[in-house]
Amino acid sequence: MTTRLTADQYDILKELINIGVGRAAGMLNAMLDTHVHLQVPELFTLTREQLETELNTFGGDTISVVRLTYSGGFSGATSLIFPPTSAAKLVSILTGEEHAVDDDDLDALRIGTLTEVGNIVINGVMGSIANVLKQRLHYSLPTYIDDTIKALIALNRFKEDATIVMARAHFRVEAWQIDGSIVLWFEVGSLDALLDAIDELNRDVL
Amino acid sequence: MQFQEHERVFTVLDDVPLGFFALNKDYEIIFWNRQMEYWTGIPREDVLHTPIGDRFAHLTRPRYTTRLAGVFEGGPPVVFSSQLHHHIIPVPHKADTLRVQHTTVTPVTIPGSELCHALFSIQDVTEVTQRVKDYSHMRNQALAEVQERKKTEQRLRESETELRALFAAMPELILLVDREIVVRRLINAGEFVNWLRTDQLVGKSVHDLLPADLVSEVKSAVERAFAEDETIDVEYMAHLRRGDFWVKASFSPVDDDNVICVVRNISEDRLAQQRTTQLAIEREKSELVGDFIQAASHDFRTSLSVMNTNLYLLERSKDDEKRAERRVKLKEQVNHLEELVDSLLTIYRWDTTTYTLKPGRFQVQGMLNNLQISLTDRANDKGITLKFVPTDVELPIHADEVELTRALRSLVENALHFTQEGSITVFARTEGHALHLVVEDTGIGIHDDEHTNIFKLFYKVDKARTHQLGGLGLGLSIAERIIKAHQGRIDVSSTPGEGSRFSIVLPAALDTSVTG
Repeated sequence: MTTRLTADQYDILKELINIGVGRAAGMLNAMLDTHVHLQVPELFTLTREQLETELNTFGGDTISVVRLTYSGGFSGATSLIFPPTSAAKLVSILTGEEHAVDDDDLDALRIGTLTEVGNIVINGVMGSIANVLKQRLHYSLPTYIDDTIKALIALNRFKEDATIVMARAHFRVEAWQIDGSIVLWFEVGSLDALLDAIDELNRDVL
Repeated sequence: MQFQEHERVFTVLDDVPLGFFALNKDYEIIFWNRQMEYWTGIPREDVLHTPIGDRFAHLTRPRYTTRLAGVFEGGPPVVFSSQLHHHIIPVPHKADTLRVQHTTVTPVTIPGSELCHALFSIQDVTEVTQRVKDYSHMRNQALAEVQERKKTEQRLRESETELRALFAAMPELILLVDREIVVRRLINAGEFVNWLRTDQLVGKSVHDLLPADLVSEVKSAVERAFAEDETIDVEYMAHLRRGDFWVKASFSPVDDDNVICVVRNISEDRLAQQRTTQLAIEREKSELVGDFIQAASHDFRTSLSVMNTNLYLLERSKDDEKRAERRVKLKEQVNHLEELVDSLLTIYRWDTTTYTLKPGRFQVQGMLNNLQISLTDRANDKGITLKFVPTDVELPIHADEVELTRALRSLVENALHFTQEGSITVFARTEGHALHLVVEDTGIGIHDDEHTNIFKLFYKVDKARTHQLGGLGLGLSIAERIIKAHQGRIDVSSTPGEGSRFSIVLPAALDTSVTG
């Protein structure tokens, strides 16, 4: 059973992610000469099955993922997901490589680059969330995975009733339109803790 | 500067083959492992508790500090990839290059302390980077080559299509043939598709395709084409399904083992050539007939004019002696006209296919005796010595006696005509089975370039018309026709101003079946 978000919770969570993504875009722009624009147009909660259906709309059997897991009082994983061609294209644009635009394969160096981009975006989002939670978490190192959608979902070992928050973002790097999604997945109870914190924040603001 | 006690926990990282250093929230270096000492050449003691900005100022710029801020708060690790940040801590690799680094920064809390430090873990990816770049370069090069090859293939396909279209419009049969003259490939069937099974040519040998007498000719043409590296042509009559064709086969070497064979139907060319030749012959004949009629008419008119004058004088004269003289003159002209008509008829006979030789066996000496009797008076009249050397040819000869005599007479009469003084010698000799009948004179002689012309009808070296016997310019023409009919020839040698020598050569005239 998925946790339903109230309109306020939805708005605040969306805003938190938006702030995090905005900060990440600022960092990328500062780091690179290219102007990277990140936006969060959509936010929705999904079951595991719905996530699989959603990821299948990326248009390929495999996907590229930069994944950060965390544990402690609050557990889960945040992933930045790209269709492989978008991942390769993003790296090519960021590094100014000429040849790789039509090339799906990522070598060790380009995997490192994509991991850093994912790291910046995920850290931006997690920074926002951590601010609200006011708890220190134990984070894993960010990792890059290139696998089938099924294998990726299996990797997360979702519980039957896990709630997954998915934010579908669009990266726009100058003339290039690149699709990517930020998927937040929380252990049982963790989302509730987050929503409680959000509610508290909401009350404080009000 | 020394470690503070709680910072000593980092020393476990001294033996790890990665570069490690740690910063506190104030960007002071609180750890610097052995690998960092090795890479930078900076001893730990010199950097501990000094600001990182003193030595590596770039790490204190917002590009880094904004990202590192979360780490000091216990936030998620930060990655600095090698493509976006080549060198977190610039350290030399080789003479002009720096080590390429992939850096991860993780928050570290020292037990017993609330403080969170940033631990930098630097992985040297110089070699991997170089290998990836080399591989990438190689792959790009390979891709470019593949692209270029595709373009070349495309161009080849286009030019092949053009060539095929060109070939399709060509009537020639084009084959690739090897040294053994076996057809390896049919390149174009051309119009030959109508006359032979061109689809069954591949694998066939020259022996299967041509009659034996042509095989050696084609083989030698192919050998020459290889030896001389040139196109060699052979023309032959091909016996095809729908009849016989004249074809021209051209062999051009393409490599050490194969020639391109282009076969063209030249029947029409041949026909056109034959027509042209025929026309030229007809034209020449027509010109000759014109000359002939002109010359003959002139000779007839001259004789008739002389006869007319003599008849007139004969009728008017009362003097018996003078009348007798006129009658002799008239008789001479009648004889001349007879000779003229006789010669013309002979020429006519020889130039039509109706005439055949009437060969028989006779003695050379007899023929020479008869000629001597009939010609000596004329020689004497001209004051020339006509000598018939008795022959030692004992074997009879097999020939048409009347015609051979006529031919030899023509040569002697020709000598009489062109010799004003001196002598004419006639003799016969043998050379193997060949009989030579020779007429030598001390006449005006003939230039080398006239040797062929003198046998043409009405041809006269001095261009002078005469109504004397032989003056028609027909004698040598008749003689040549007769001797050719006997499978013989007339040789001419001459020195202008000194004399000429005509030899009738009859290679097989001697009748060797008779002995004694």
